[in-house]
Amino acid sequence: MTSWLDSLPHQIPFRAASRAVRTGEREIVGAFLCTANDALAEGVVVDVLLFEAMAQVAGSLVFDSPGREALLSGIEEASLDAPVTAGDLIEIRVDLEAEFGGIYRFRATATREGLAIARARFYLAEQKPSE
Amino acid sequence: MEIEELKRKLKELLIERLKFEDMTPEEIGDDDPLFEGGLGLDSIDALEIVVMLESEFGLKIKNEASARESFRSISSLARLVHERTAEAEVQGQA
Repeated sequence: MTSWLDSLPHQIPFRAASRAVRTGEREIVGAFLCTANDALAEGVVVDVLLFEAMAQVAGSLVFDSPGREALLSGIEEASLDAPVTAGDLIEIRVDLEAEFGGIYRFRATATREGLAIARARFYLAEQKPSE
Repeated sequence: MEIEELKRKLKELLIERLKFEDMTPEEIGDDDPLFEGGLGLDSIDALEIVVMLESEFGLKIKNEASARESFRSISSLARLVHERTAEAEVQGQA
C-alpha cells in the first residue's frame, strides 16, 4: 500500500518513521524503531531523529493522497525526558489540532513501554503544485 | 463587549498567544498592519489567530479569502469579532 511515508524523498536514516496508521479523522499512530545504526549517531542526533519521525507521522495524517506535499515549517514546546537508545520501539501518537490557509498544527507524543518520553507541537505547510 | 474594549483584549491576546513577551498593548496601533510590514506576522501566526478566535470568542474562521481582510489590523479584527458575536446573540434570542 502506498502511503505518504512511501512518497517521502528522505533516505535512511532520515526516513525515520517506520509505520503510520490512521486511527481517526484527526488522529494517527505511528512508530519509530531505533536501530543500532541509528544509535551510532550518538547524542542529540538520534533524539532529533525521533522528532523527525513524529513530524513524518503527522504528515501522514493529512498528506496521504498522491500529489499532496508539505514541508515542516515549525516546532514548538518540544521536550524530551529520556534519551533514545538502540532497540527502542517508540510509539508515536499525533492529533491534528488546527488548520488554516494550508498550515496544519499537530500535537505529538512519543511513548516508550507506556511511558511518555517526548512531546512537541508541529506545523506543516502544504506546498502548492508548481505551475 | 464594546469595540474599544475588544481592541485592547485582542492586543493582549495576540501578545500572549504569539509570545511577544517584550511588547505591550500600547505598542500596537489599532490600524497597524498585522502582516506585511507592521507586526510582521506570518502564516503560522494566522493559524494561531484562528485558534484564538475560536477558543476565546467561539468564532469559526474557515474562509481564507474573507479572513484576509479581517486580519489586516486590530481594528478590522475587532470589527469581525464584534459583528460575529452580535449575530450570534441575535440568533440566540430568536
